[in-house]
Amino acid sequence: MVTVTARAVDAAKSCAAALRWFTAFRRTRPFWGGLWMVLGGWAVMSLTFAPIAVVLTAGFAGISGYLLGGGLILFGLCAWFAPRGRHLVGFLGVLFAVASLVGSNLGGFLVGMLLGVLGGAMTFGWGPKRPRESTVDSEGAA
Amino acid sequence: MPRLPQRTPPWARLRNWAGEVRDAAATGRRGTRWSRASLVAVPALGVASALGVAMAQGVVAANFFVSGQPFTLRSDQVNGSGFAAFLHSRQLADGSAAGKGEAMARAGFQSARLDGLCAVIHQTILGLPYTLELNAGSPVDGKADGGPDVIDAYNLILEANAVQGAQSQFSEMVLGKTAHQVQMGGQPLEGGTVGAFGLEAGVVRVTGLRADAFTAEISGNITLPKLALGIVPGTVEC
Repeated sequence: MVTVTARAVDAAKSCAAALRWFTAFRRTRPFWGGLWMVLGGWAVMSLTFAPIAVVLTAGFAGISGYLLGGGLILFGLCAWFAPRGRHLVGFLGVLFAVASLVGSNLGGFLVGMLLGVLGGAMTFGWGPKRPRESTVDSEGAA
Repeated sequence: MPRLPQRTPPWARLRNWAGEVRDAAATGRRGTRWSRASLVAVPALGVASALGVAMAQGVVAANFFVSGQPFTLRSDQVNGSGFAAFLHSRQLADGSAAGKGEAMARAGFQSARLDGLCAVIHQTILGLPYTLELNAGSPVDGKADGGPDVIDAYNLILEANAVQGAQSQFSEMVLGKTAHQVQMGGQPLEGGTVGAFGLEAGVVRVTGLRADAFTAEISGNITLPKLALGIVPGTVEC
């Protein structure tokens, strides 16, 4: 009985540690911008899943979904795992999202394009901020 | 193969990286600076809306390639040339690895002139159903009125399991051609099974078209005058 409760406490502790680490991960990179880019890319790409033979015979219209949607997903992942390149990646993400409006099903029927523009712009604009005055006094260097 | 002694194993590098992330979070405050984000977002949305206006005027052509998503198409009249069609089985995703085979007609037009177009796609995002509605050209109201707002599509291929038309005319027909050799006005329509039934027609006119389709490919151009695109919550029909 004791060991079971001890194990439960351990599990809860490691869960809390993982959550804390995830918060740290989220705060040190353009997390939300990257997430919107990944979702927008998925919205563009998921409309065009087809056998590769069909994709190739359809030409640009078939390829562009994979190209533009896949590109957006890659840029989103780059924003997470290489946050130093966020300016380039955010700008290219916005560019791909706008190109998908013409290139692929009106940008995943607008949903993908809007998510891509939002995510790319958020990634581009992400960076150090002035600390909040009120929290500095109460928490120190938060 | 001797390994380099100073090489750190991958889990140690991962642990290092996790520690670096934790340390970096303790210094300073970061976040989205909306003033900078809008520097990119505002011009991008401006360009996008300019492109949308150009598409609605028929200046810029759109590209469509929807596959494996059920959607409904309606048009008052379709005038096509270079028509080809055959039946085949298409694997649809139903959760299993192999998918579910469903008999479908695959039909191609070398060029099609549509009198009004209305298309709806039903999708769910995070469990909530919503409908994407696309309208172009003159309104789809059952009257084939022609007019200047016709939609021109080139190399249009549809795959449908239910097609209804109030009236249809076919001319210059070739029936019973083997499906892997049917051509839409000189261009092959890919994907046919050898020996299956195929048909070709030079000129097609369908009035009051309604199709439940799964794939739409437009490898040529499509002009969409009076384009209106909307996202409606719930399940709405055309």
